[in-house]
Amino acid sequence: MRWFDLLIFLYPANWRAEFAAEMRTVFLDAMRQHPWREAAGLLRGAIEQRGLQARRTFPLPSPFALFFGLTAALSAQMIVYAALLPHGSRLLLRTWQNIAGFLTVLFVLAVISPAQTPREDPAALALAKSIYGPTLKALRDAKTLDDLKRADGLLDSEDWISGDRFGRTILTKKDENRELESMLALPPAQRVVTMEIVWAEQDRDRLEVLLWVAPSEAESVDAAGVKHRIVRGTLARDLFEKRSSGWMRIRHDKLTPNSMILAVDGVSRFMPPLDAAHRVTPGEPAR
Amino acid sequence: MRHVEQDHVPLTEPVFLILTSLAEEPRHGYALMTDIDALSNGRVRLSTGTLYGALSRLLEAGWIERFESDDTSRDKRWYRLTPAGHALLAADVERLRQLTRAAAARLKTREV
Repeated sequence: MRWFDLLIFLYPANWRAEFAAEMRTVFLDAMRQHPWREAAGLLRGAIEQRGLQARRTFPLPSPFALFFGLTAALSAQMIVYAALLPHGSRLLLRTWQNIAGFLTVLFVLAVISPAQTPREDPAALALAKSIYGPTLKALRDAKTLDDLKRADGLLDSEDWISGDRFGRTILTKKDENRELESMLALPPAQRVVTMEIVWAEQDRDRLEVLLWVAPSEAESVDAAGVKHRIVRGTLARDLFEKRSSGWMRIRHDKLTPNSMILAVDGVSRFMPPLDAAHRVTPGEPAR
Repeated sequence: MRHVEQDHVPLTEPVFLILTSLAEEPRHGYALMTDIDALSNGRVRLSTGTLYGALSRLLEAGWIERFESDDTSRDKRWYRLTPAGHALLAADVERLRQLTRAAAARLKTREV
């Protein structure tokens, strides 16, 4: 281990896994001419990457929302505080003391608060739609088997697999290619299924898409005669990898049985809180 | 796609130089540093930390990509422009061309 490895160690772990080895090589070459500048550059880079990672882990509201929120809260507090203070007291000093206390509490809250709820990434959603859209169109418009193969090649990599809900591989690309012929016999509208993206998230070279496949809505009447809107479909997960040819789907996993009830009266069956029977509690009896 | 490129120009100087360097041919990290030094006549010398910060952002944005080469090892990886990176660089070059043309025309007017 060399002294500059300590500087590289300051970078986030995922960064080190991706870049540390080649950074070390480049640094060794570059430091022959400018050792101190290079060391300072490594340190500055580590601080920047840590900062970026912190901003991703603790996403802040927009600067405008922060500014107006803080201004409104401070103003309200000052008005209330001034109204409560007896006349003739040292209003200004005590108001500033109060503001300082308020900011300290805010700072402590910011430091100790857990990560905020992850938000949907609009870029990932747009990316996912931009991958599925052209493929579905090409599948629908295909006239020949070659057209279908080309359309399929837009989406799935050569090592693509499809898994069932128990994690077993049930289809490979070879199987899929064999099925394309029967797809050609279908009317164009039936070659593609409707899909609704529930969640899309991406990092540098992977994209995860959680989706409802073929959701269909129907009305159902329960035993008490009450009508309900039932959405049935399949919950699936697609994984994409960024390759030299672009984003390719490498895995499709069906997570639930076909035509499972996904939502009742607009409320998802997968969204907590569900009832106590679905909750995992410590000390569940062993079976 | 053009509006997407317009959203990202003007490019920062390090990003512009990295894309320009890769527009010529694929390069690995140290070759990029030395080429950028030469491209800018020694005015811009990227440190290792700055270079990899920029490369990481460019990879994430999909403007460059790593690729496998015969002599790729864990310690030496090659980078090249993607079509999106190429289009982005072209958009910024066009922007600069328009600016320099306008500036040159005004200078000429003043000299006359």
